[in-house]
Amino acid sequence: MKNNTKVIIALGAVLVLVLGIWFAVGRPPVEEPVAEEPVVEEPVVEEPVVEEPVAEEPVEEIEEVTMRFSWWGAPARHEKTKAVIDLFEERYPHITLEPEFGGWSGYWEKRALEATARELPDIFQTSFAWLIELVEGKSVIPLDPFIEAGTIDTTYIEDALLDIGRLDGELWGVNLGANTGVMIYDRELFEKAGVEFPDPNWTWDDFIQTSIRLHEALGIYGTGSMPVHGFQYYLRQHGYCLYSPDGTKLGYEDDSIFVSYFSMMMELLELGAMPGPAVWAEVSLGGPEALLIVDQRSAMDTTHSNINVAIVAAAGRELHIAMYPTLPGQVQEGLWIRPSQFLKIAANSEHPEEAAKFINFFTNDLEANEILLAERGVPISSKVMEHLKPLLSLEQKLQIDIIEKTSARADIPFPASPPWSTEVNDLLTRVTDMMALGEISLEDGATMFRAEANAIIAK
Amino acid sequence: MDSMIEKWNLKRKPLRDRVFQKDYDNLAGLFFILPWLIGFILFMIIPIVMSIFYSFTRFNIISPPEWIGVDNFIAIARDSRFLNSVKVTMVFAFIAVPARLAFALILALLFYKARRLVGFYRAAFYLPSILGGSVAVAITWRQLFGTQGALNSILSAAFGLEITKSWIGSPDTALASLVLLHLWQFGSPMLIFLAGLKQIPRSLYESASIDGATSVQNFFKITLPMLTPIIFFNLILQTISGLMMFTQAFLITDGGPIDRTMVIMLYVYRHAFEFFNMGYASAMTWVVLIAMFVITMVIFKTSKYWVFYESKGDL
Repeated sequence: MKNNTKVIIALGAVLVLVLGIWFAVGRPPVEEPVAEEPVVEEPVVEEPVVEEPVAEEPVEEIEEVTMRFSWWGAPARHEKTKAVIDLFEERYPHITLEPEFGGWSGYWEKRALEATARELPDIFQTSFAWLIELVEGKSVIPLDPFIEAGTIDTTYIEDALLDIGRLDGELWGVNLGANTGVMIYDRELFEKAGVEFPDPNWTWDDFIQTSIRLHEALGIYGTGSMPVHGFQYYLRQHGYCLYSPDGTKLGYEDDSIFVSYFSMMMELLELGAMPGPAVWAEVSLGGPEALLIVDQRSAMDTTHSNINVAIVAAAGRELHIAMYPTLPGQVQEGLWIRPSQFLKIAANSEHPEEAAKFINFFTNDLEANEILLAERGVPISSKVMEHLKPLLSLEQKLQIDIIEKTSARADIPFPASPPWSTEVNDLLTRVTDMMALGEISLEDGATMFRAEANAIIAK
Repeated sequence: MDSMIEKWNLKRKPLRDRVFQKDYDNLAGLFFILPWLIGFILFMIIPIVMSIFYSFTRFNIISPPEWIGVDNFIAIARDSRFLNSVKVTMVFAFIAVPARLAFALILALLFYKARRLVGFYRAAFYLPSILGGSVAVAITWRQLFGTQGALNSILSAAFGLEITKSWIGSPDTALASLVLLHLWQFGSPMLIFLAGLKQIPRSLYESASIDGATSVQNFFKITLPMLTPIIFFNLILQTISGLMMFTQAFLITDGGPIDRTMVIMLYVYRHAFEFFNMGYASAMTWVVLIAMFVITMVIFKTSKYWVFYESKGDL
């Protein structure tokens, strides 16, 4: 073969290869849902963005819009959210939403990377913890203009519930539902053991005694674990916070609080009323369905109020929720109301107007909320709440009930978590595990936590 | 005569033409590998260079990187968690790699003789290696060795006790369960050993049998020395992959109870993607790379004392 021909064939082959890759990569990537349980890959539906020719006078252009919407959750939430998306697409036929969903694990990593690449989904669910980082990185847009224009209707939403999403006075995300930490318990098991149900004013002592008696009577664990964010909660009851208000150091000086909290944990561990880190590890990797109360390996457990629905679904039986124990003589009420999640609009979104319409729909539309049924937390619109009340199942009513009771008592908001909170929380888990396994004493644990937390903050 | 030379172009081409000819061929070759080359540069060279840069910065993805010089490296030297993860990784590699190789060798010896269904057994024993790195197997392993797992059921049945120990959640056994999983995926070293065994000339065994050698002597005097190049090869590969183990530690124990299974790559991942200390994580990867290079060099240098290559003829 002549050399010319060789080169031409080589060039041609390269061209074919490059074109092939171009066309393969040119379509939007199909998001592989990351979850423990097998999840069906969501087929990508893309509609070409068609621009109507712009006329002289302002004419209503029906521009076909495609947006990405991302959230995390358990399969129950995925089904409901997808149904809401379908409903939205019916109402607004020119908008197509591409859902991207998966489990909690890995969600924030993906969003963080997308934030750097400025490729965040147009609308995405976020946790309370990332507010500062997203705002500082200019990854989200303020929503006040949409409220003023009426795109997001806030007539039935209490200011206080919206304000949680404010930073420096601007609203960055819409609260998807109020949430708090609760103890979930099985009344049947309590009755079998002859133990009284937790009442709204039960104390830490009551909590410990109840757990011990349940364990002794039934042979199972009294409680699956200490309350979620329990140490922070305990600090609040003493009038402190885990983080100082300016986010530059730990918010408490007195290590004896640390020791007294964790000695409660040690007491329960030693008496066998609560399992140890080995079991906690398994549970945390498994999601709400892995909680011990689900298969009656414990009579109580701790969770967030909006997850009780998923737990009840997994357990297949009636479970009740109670507020966290009080501290006799507490300086302030430790209970808190927090937004379960926010919906935010990405700064890189090309369709902020439509995204705002979706947020409005999600928050205010009655039919949509009939589908969602407070799965993400108690809806912030009072009109929606009233509409939903007759439709709710027992556990959902319990959820609303406890939020109402808690908001009546909780008046100190949780401050936004500083960027180093993830590492400090990880440190706290490790120190807790070490103390629980008896590797270090409680006093050493307190000093170690303080020292290493300060080191982390200093970085 | 001249006209014939002219016609068939039999004269030697001028130098310029000859050189250009070679470049022409090289150019064609370049185009053929261009797609791979582009990928290599984009996805390997550029990120590697960027990571060198990042290792001297503080970078949390959301804000731009901030140059801090060698602070990261100093911090690494002082980081007790990093030193712990080095220890964990070393312990893991020192136990899991020889164990896997030994197991692979034993099975290769078993499969060396053509018995009934040996083809089937070879494939069957290779299967775990294919499944091995997968998420599904890791999750299954977690279930098997958990408090309510199959291992506990078997032990309870065997000993008549109610055993509910969490093998992956207990600090003393967590790493062992990971070693076991690593051991279970012995397929590829086994196949390589098998190939190596087949290369040993039969004549050696024949002459040994004439001299009245037992099979044990056969093994230690013939098989093992002849296999040393293969062992060397497998050792290097397995050591590197053992030191880099990540998926299983991440999925099964996530660093394990109190960092007992926090292997280096998992620690790097933690800092990079959970704490968003990209600069710190990059610095750690480079430290790991240098360390692995040193280890591999050591294995290479000492190899001349125990690896026997037929071509060299000595030892």
